[in-house]
Formats: sequence, structure tokens, C-alpha cells
Amino acid sequence: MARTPLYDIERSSGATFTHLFDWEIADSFGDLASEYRATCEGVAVLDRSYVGRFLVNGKDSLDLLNRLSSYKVDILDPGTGAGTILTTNKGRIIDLLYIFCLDDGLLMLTSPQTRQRVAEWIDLYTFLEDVTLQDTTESAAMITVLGPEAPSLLEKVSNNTVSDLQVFESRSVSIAGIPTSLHRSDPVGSCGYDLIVSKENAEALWSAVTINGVGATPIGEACYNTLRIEAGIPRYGWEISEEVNPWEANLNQFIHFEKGCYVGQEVILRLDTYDKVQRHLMRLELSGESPFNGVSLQKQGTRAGTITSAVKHPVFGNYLGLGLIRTAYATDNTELEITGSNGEIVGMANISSLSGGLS
Amino acid sequence: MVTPLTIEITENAAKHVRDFTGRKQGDPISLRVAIKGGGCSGLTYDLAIDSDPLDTDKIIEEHGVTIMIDKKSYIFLAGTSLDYSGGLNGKGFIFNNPNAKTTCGCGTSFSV
Repeated sequence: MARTPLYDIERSSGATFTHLFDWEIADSFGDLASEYRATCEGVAVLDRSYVGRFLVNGKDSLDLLNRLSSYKVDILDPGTGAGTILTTNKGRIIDLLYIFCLDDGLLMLTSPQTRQRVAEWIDLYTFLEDVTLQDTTESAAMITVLGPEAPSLLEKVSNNTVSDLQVFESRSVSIAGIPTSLHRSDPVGSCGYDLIVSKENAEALWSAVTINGVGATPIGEACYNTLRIEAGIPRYGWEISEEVNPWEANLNQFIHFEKGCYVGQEVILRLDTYDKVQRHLMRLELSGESPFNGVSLQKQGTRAGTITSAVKHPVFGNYLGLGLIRTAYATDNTELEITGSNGEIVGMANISSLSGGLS
Repeated sequence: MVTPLTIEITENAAKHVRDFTGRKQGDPISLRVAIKGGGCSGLTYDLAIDSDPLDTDKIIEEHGVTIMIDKKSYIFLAGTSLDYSGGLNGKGFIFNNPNAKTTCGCGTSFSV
């Protein structure tokens, strides 16, 4: 079980821990409701060192990534970036990659579960291209600063402008004397900034941002997962996997329609052209007995979909989630049944469309 | 019939390479045949004039044309015949590759 460079400082701050893939990560710092409020009203900090990070170098890097993924990334100006989906030739998702064009190469973020899969996939399709991939996940730490006060806190501790950054834009800054790579990624929909430093500097960065309790409020996985579900953002291991295509995962904003050939392009475009998308990601209001994750949904005995994510809201107490719903049932205010092992109805799900989602 | 362990170029394809490059019969012509990732089905063919072999290239000479193939591309190309289909409805240079399992709708991409 891997631990991030911030494990000790999180533990001494009262964190409880949970598992994400093969990582042991902070789940909560004791008061989930106040973590939620800090993120919505103030400024919060989340340790996301478990996110896969690669440094991609070589003059053919963007050209290769462009041929293997759904968005147009062949030309990225330094300081900018893009999200793009690595797809199979059947249009299924290997992973959603976030690519940032930095001074010393491309920074590529992957899901924690897909580091090896993504590296092997790219390597498989590399022939004579000048492209190298270096997995930098374990040599660095990454913390994410969230909330409406995030830009002003970051400007204060870095003595640099941050509020002008758009999503996927990056800047090198110095925080408490620590060289920090900062980029905007909005992982819960509202503005969110990732800060990457060498692992030796991780604790010092955390302290600089939390400022002994008067800066950013530490939050953990429970709060993060609630926020991203609330924002309708799909996540690898829940909504995103190799069993789904980008339309089903509500990631169509990362499909570029004018870029020409890439692996799986024909399938992905035909799904839309011929109206063949069979399932849609929808928002769910749930009632009944939890746990809800992975539970199937029915309408009068017919399978209608699956609950992919569900949480109990830390402030309001209701159960909310996301689900993959068959097209025939994917309309607002449809009520679907959650059935128990004996076929009896044990809960209900009210469906609504996602709005907003990933920026 | 091409043996599984090599790649061939047909006489027709060789003639068209000569025509496109303006080389006369007897002049040396050197082509690099390669696989590139991308394309709807995953892989595409790349054909280019090249006279710089790599140490690890496989070199084949046929019908006056020298073909260079890098080690990795060779795995996907073994058994392939490079032909030429001309005329108004012709496709130009075509790769008849027994390893290709699927192709995309426009025919430029394949998977193994």
C-alpha cells in the first residue's frame, strides 16, 4: 500500500485514512461538514499525490498523443494544456489525460489506477517517434487548492498572479522558497489549482498553504468524492473504465470533431451521427437503504441502469449519486427502482440531467 | 505467395515508386516502410523515400528497390505485400497485410 509524502503530516493533523486503488490516502480530518463548507465558501487543500504524473519529452510527443487521443493536442502553446481521452480502436476509454505544456516538456496526468496501462499503451504505439515517458508520480507530491478564496490565498503565498489562469494553464511559482509548478485543473468543477513540488518539499508546501490553521482547510477523499459527484464529474473506477465510451461518461467536451484520424475516431463519431449511444450519465437523487454503489436500477422489472457513485451529503444529509442509464429511461424526473436480492423495492432513484460537469 | 518472414514489393509497385521519384531504371531507390500509431483502427502505414538505414533495420531488395523497415514495424508487417492499384478508381500504394484483422471504413487504418 503506497502512501503519499504527506501521510505523516496528515496523520498528525487528525486524518483518518482510506484506500484508493493501491494508495492509502486521507479520508477526512474529523469534520466532513466543515471540510465541505470550507471548499464551497473559503479555501481548502486536498492531497492528490496519488494522481499519475508523467513527464513526456521528445519532439514527436504532441503529434503522437494527438494520433492516439480524442482532442486536438498537436499544437499546445507553452503554458497551456488540454484534456484528451486515450481511446481504444473500439472507442472505449483507456483514460482521460490532462496534458500541460511546461518549460521542460509535457506534464501528463492520469488516473491513479491507469499509470501502467497508459504508459504501456503509448509505448505500444510508439515506433520511430522521438518520445520518452518518465513516471514522476513517486518523486513528487501534488496538492490541490480549492474554493472561491483559492486564487487569493495562492497569490498571497506565491507573491504571483494566479487569478488570471484559465483551466489547463500553468505557471512556475515559488511558495515559501519552494519551486512549485502550478496549474489550474478544476477537479471538482469550481476553480482548483494543482501544486507540484518534489517530495522532499511536500510538508513545507502543505504548511505554507495551511498557514497553521488560518489558511486552507485540509480536506480528504470523502469530501472530494462528494464534491465531484455533486458537480457531475465522472471518475475512473466509478464512471470511467474500458467498458464505456466518451459519450456514456459525459466526456464529449474532450472529443474534437475536426481533427482527423485518431485511434477509435470512426466508432466515436458514428455513435453520435447514428444516434447509437446506448447509455447516459445522469444525476441521481436516491432514497432507501445504502450502500448504493454498483447497484442496478430497474423500471417495472426491466433493467434500466446502474448506480455508479453514491454519497451521503455531509451537510444536507440526502443521498446523491451518478448513474449510467439506458437511453430509453434517461429523461429528467424519471423514477427508477432499486431492488433488493428478492426483487423487492428497497429504494428509489430520481434522475436528472447533468449540468456543468468538467470545465 | 509471400512467406510470413519477409515483406515484398510487387513489380508494379516498384515501377510506380520509380515513376513518382523520377528515377530511371537502374538508379538506386530506397524506401522506408513503417507503421505509425493512430488512425481509426490503431495503426497506419507510412511510406517515404529514405536512404539512411538504422543499425537495427531489416533491409530487403526487390525489383531494384531497397526497402528499410525498423525492427518494431517489421513485427506488424511480416508477410505483407506492397502493391500498387492504379486507374481512376485505384487506391495508389496498397499494403496487403495478412496480420491485419480489422480496418477502418476508409481503409487507411488497420489493427492486428
